[in-house]
Amino acid sequence: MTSKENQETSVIEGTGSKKYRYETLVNKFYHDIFRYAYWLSKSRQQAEDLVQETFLRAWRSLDSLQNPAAAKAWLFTILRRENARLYEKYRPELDDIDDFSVPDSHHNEPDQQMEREMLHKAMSKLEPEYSEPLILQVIGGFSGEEIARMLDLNNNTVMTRLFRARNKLKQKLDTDNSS
Amino acid sequence: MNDLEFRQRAYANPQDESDEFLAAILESPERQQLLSELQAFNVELTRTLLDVPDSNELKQRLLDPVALSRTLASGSASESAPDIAPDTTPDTAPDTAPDSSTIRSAAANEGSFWRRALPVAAGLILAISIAFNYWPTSNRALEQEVFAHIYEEIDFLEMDDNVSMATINGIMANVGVQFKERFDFADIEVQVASDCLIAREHSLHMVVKGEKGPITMMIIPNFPVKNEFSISDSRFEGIISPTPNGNLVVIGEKDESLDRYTILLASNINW
Repeated sequence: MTSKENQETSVIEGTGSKKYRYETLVNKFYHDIFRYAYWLSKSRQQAEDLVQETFLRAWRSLDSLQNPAAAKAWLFTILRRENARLYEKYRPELDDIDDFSVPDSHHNEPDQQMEREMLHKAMSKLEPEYSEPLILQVIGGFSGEEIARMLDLNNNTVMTRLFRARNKLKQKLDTDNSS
Repeated sequence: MNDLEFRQRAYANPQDESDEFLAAILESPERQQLLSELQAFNVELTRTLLDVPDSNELKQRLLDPVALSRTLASGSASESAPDIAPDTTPDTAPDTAPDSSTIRSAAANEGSFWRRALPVAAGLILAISIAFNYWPTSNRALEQEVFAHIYEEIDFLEMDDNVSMATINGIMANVGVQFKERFDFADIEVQVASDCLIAREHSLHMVVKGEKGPITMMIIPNFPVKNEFSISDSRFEGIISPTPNGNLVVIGEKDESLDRYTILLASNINW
């Protein structure tokens, strides 16, 4: 852990006011939480709503966060629950991915941009039982054991789903490239 | 490790740094080739998943959670508000522009009016804001606020954070109340404790394990109700009791006996 991370962890631990601890949480995890929300919901609007609800719940329950080292997993878990609640409430039309398109990047060569688009599309169509563990691993940086705890699965199941997720994506990409 | 297992582990985590996996890589050039492809693919996958532009404006809103909470609450309230009639739009500018002398004399008159009116207005606003936060709440209004909050936080009833006394005491301090010295919940399991805005006040919202299901307990530092009274809806039954500086709320599933919890709170808090 870098000295900045140590400092942030000690702030979250409770040496400052509740507002200050909360602000540290937002500053540290906002981007990853947004990315997770985006890929879970496949909708930018819903992602923004999810992120709002997640951090509001975190604010209300901040004193119940007993282990500051688990703050990231805690936030990701809150967001998963909120997504389940909002998804059951709104049933978004997942077939319509017009607002879920690849951001244009001027840094990418045209070939890279095309590959990025294919991968983005393949990822958006990946079944949730495969995409969720993959997102937690890549965006969250969680280990297999941590993902198993968060998804209430056993470790072997998580590793199998991670294998299938990358296998499906790679096969799709190879198929699209050859055509 | 055979080739099949190696392939599965490489796909599951191309960045695996365990000794066993690293040793397995060296066993054949085919394994090194496979891993190299998967790591390159993983780089591209990571870039794709991380390449999500987010909103700085949203982040700034998140940094003021109290204001955001109020905005969202008033937004949901306005969904059920009646439509505003078209003729209640703000006054429009006059058709003709006044000349400069008219403006000066109008300004002078306005100045003397506002010099008299402003202190009165300020005092009135202050009085109203104090009264708004400390005005007797009708029993019905408080009951509605309490139930609205329970359903807003319905997830609390299924959570189990195994909350410590230290956490509860911290939240109580925010609310302006404390438990008596050496108080603890003994055999009562506290599942959730949170600092929540209830009836516009920072309040303690706890969930403990009851006999029939979870029991919600709230300490709300608002104007005390006149007498203890019962509340209920299709699912829950509860009691709201006044104390010198606020109200205690205990709510459980139908047929749950709540006396023990009501007495526990009432006998053990100090404002």
